[in-house]
Amino acid sequence: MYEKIAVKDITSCSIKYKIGICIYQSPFSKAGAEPYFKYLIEHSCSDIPAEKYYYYARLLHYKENYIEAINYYNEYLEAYEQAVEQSVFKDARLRIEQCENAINLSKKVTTGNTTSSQVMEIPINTSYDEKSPIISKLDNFLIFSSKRQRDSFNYVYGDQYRFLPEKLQSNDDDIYLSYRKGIQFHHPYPQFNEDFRDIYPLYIQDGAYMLLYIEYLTDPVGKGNIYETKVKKGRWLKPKKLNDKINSEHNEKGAFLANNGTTIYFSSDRPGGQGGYDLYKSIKIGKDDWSKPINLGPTINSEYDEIYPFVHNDNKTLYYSTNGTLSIGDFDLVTSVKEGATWSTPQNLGVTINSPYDELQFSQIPSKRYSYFSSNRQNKDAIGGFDIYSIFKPVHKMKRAIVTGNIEVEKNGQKIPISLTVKDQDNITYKKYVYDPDPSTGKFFMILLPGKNYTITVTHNELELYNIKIDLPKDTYRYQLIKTFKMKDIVVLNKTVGYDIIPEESQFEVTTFDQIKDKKEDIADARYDALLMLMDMIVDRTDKDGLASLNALDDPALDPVISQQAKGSPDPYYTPLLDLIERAFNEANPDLLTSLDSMRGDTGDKVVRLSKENNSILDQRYYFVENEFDISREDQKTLNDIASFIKPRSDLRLEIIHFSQENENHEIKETDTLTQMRINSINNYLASKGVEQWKVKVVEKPKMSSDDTGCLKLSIIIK
Amino acid sequence: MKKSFLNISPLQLVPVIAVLFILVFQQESRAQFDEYERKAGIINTFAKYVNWPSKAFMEGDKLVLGILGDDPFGDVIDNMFRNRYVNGRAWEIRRAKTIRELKGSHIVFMAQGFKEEEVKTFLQEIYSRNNSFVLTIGDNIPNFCKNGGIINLTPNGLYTLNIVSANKAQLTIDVKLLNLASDIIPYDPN
Repeated sequence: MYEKIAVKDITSCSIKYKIGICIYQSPFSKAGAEPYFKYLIEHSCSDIPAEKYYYYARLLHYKENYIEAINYYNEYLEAYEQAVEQSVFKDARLRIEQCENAINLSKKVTTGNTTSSQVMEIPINTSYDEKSPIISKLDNFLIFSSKRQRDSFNYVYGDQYRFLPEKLQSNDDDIYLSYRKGIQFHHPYPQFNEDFRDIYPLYIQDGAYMLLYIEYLTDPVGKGNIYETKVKKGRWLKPKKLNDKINSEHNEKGAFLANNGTTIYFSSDRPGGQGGYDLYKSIKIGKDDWSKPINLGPTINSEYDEIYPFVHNDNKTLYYSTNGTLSIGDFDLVTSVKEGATWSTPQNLGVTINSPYDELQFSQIPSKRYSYFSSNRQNKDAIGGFDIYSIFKPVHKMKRAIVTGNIEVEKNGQKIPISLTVKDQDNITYKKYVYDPDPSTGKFFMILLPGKNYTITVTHNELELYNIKIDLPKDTYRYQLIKTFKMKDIVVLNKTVGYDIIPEESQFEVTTFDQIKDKKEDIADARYDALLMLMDMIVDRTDKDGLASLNALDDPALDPVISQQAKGSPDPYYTPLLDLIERAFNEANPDLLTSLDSMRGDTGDKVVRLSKENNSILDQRYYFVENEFDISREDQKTLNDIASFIKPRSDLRLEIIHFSQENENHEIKETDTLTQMRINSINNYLASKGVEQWKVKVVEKPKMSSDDTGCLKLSIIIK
Repeated sequence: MKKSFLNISPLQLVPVIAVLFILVFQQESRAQFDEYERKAGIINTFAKYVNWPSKAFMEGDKLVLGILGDDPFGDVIDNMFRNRYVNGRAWEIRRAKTIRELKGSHIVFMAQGFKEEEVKTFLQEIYSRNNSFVLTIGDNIPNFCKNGGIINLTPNGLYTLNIVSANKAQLTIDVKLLNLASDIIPYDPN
């Protein structure tokens, strides 16, 4: 009507002001009000209150023209300089702060950051309000509220209208459910088919339990409550109101169940908080009761509003909306992470997700790949009123290194079957994507994270044969390793006491991603991707846990390469090199230093014991003639064999065991001189044969049988 | 929604793909750690076994490494030394083309590319003042130790050590460094 008058009186400031205010209320195109306020400012309409600056600043703010908006907010403040209207100052100052936030957050947007929000297509969104998108944990359906006409497909695009004509207006309000169909969603269907003044979902579990907000027609206007409902025989039961611990006589906006339904987070403007709507939490007691709600405290809550909490499946990441000093305009989505008992300082989700309009009701699947929220923003993509937006977080393409080659162990001219265990520097065992060498060819295959050091343990029949150390530089594309070993029986005193593992061939080659690029082999990348995809499929078919752990790698928060270097700790990649250099100096071993550029760091057990249970690999008893300590000629022969076995091997130790003797009163006698002399006689003999003294240890053990009487036992053990 | 190739046993596929990959790419051999990663590592160890007089740390707690000339390390040395401590001191790395800019360094690493006369001048500049407790390390620079430098890295992975220059700079060299030096120069170049 004002527009009609304006045609007649085109210079009336007050008509233009009123038209401006009307259009400003439009759910589809507030921007249409801008020329009216601009006219009022340019023509110094003195009969118009200073609010014109405020509205114009708000419109510029919505247009994301933050610097200009700040200027006009300031004009508004100056106009009210004399007045003592605290609320005016507070609001305008908050808006200036929000504009400054937007400017600062815009600077943080880096190129290549592809996380941004997309409006969902019709029929999820219509020109009516669609709000409260709640995605199921399995990402298979979405529920949301819509004020669309229930029995009509009469969708109109909001940009044709400033306000919907009467015949298109809707009094309906319901919760809709839509199943996922690939990357799209099926046509949504209403769930309740009753009359409500307002209804929207808050939380859904397995499609069979829902928390929802309902304002019945019988409720006072604007005062709804939080209800819960379950599915029975394919239908939602009549919603049951949560008790007065949650639903107070004040207002509640949003509720979410976390920790398997044992904790409820909700928002309420009840007194006793930080101001406005605050977030609270309460613990479930028994079947239907809740503990006294606890305010989440001043880190999360402010004097402004905090509404619609959402807690990620990890039970520690909280998302909610606030219109306070963290926002860039109206309600914005922010997040905070629980660290122990405290919450981290909330962070705005950024200008690629938030806008100067409202962003509300965040919901996210456990993998964080898809998130949803509703916003009443008015840009070219908006369909009308509140719309549902999705955020797709692109998969972080993680570089992984392929480790291939041959590992062979030959015994008596025959290859023996071996298996490989892989551990990284943090002692984490890698089982997925580790394939043992083929028994006939020795070819093995594994996919590991680059930028780490690994120990590959070669085992045969559960006997650890050798540890191979490899270092994968950060940009390793492929690491090729060829190692061959010979396994030989160790025979001492005509008994096989273990095996010697002798490294024969040793080669490695590292191909980096850069080297592939240099060769312009673009195809290589595609093949690499194809291989990784294939590996994913293999693991998917054979090992669900494996796939889950692979998916976890896509999440930067869990990404071991990104997170491996904790703040303040040195790069672990260089640690083995530095350790080796230091070892060279400590051992005064120039060979270690000069051979740094060749294969290094094998820590193979030179001797492999036959059985893991038995600590000693050889036991030999020596009996002496009564009251004698001389070693017989025969025993000297066996001692010669033992000495020549131990001498070259630094990882062996020899124990000379003597058995304690009891006297008549069953008390243990002290080692007698004769036993001591016998020990010395064996020890001296071994020393004369070149066995170092530090390898020999004298041990006393209790006598177990008559075999132990008058005898010394020599045990060879691996260090 | 099974695809036909998925019906092949996964374990059969793995070696096939592995072989395919081996065949596709021409490989380049490359050392486990490259030359300057090793040299950076050795500098870190030198620092551990050289004892500076306490008055050498007037400027603060950090151990300052100055790289003189064209830096051959790139970001390797920054990555390696970040958050590593030598006898409780954090590293600070400076890069410059003149000695004046490296004032306050405890170690000066002289890169290749200087003429012998320039090297002489630099060393004289460093040691001309009393109380210049500087460990000079040459990157395989001819006659570095003969001209008064303390340690010169040699191509065989070891180093030459001028013990007299070290004494003049009031640095105590641990016997461990003497053990591995390929050559020790026990005389005063002057």
